[in-house]
Amino acid sequence: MLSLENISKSFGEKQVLNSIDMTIESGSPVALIGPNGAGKTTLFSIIAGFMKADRGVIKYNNIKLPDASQFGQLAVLPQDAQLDPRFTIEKQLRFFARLQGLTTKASRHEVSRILELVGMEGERRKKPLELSHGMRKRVCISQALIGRPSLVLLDEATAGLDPLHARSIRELISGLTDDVTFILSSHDLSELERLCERVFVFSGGKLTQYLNVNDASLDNVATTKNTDFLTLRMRSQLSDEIVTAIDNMVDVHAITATQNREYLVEYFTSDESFDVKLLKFLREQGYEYQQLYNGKTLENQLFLDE
Amino acid sequence: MSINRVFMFCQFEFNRFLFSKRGIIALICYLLIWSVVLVEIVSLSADVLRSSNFSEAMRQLLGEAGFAKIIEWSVPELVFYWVVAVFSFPLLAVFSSADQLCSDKARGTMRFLTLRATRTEILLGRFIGQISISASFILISIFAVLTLILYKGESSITASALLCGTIFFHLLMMVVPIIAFMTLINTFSTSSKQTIVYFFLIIVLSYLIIGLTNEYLFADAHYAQLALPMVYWIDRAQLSLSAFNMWGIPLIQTLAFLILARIQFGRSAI
Repeated sequence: MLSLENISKSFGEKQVLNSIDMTIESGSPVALIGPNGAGKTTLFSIIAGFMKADRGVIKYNNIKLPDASQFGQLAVLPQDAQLDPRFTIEKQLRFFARLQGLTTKASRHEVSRILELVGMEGERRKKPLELSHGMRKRVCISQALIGRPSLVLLDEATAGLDPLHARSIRELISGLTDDVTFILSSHDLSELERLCERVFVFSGGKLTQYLNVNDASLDNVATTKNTDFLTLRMRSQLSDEIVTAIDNMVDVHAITATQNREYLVEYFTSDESFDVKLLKFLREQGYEYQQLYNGKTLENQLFLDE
Repeated sequence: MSINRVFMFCQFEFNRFLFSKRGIIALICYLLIWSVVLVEIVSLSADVLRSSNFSEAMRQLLGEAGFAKIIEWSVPELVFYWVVAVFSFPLLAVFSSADQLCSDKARGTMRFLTLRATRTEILLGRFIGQISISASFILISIFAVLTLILYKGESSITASALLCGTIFFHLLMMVVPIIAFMTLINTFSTSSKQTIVYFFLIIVLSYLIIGLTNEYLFADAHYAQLALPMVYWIDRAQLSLSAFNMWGIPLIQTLAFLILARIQFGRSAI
């Protein structure tokens, strides 16, 4: 059980976290959601020990963190962290495993198991820069799974990934939920909705809501049943013709320009590879996308809809 | 604190240095420079010191430079080895220890490490790893000069070996506070280049300010030099220091720099 008592953090004048109290029992995945600046990443960083809270106490299994006895029990995928480009991923993962107390032989077996789990056993002798962005993300997730931790924090695990890689990471997480309690943060509501049963909503540095997917209250946040959303952030503005062409696609229910170069596409969920088809269409028309979220971005979901 | 994890960081630091482009270039340069130094300077100068025609002039020259104590050594090769080593190893230590923490912090790799080890273990492991690297460099050059002495066969090998032992510890005492100071700079710098620039800036500006203050404002200001890693560098090269200044000051400095580094590293967000 992870418990946070009265966690507060300020950067200069700006209060980023304001007296956060929450308890997370072991079990199904938990989502932390909130718009940019809500304090999710700061909270993750404080739980992981990357920075100190100004006030408050964090306990994991009744042990006050940080504590060396919890190394290997609590794992984190930090946002934007990279492995050392000079060493092969196997060498670095084995080093992490050995730091967690595994013997040389055990660390070799553990790294093989982890790399197989994330589908990267063939890339073990490669250095991080020889891998694609999606694969690097997988390696970073694999380091969080070394030594079978009981709690894993994933901060924006699928951010910046193409739909196929994002989907495979979601599948990986889904396959591990029996043994590991995941705490995830993401802008992608539909992703969290698919993975998590428990949801903590943050806004302005405060914990504003706790929701459970089985509760009726989540209906306010959930998307419609038969359609799903894609949020596209393009490198350039789409022409009116292209917007109309997308709107006329068989799978598309509606497309709305939400802000400059950002579009919300509502599509029928019967087609699982709709996102791939849409991106292919846009590429053929000479448009590059900057970011793609499965679902509405949280800003769209919680605020623009109001 | 786990000694085992400190040892693992120390070992990995060694690999990190040797596998980096900077490390390989440093190693190649080091071997090339020392080959030239040993053959062209140490060996030839020792021959000059031995020859009856130039011996007196050479002794006078070194004496003028403050190396009177060193000239008394029974092995001329080591006299010149010392003169070169005492100026080159501290600089080598500055460059080789420039990236103990900063690149890992900038890249985010440090986050993976702090999930598995305390900041004290990381800091200490990296620091000891850097000492091992510098000690290895010193030892390689000492073995090379011993080989040269053995090859020439003009000096007692026992006397040479004993002197080499003394030289090794003196050189180590010079580089250890420098490495600890680099550890401290690493806690707030963001790249190895920045660390090196900060090092030279801090040293040059501090000596300048202390010198001016001592001259015009406050006569005892020179004691502030004791807080700097390269204090008494010349006196140490001339072996004209008291035992406390020779051994005590570097150890106290090292401890102080490491404590400050730990405090700063512990407070900073990574």
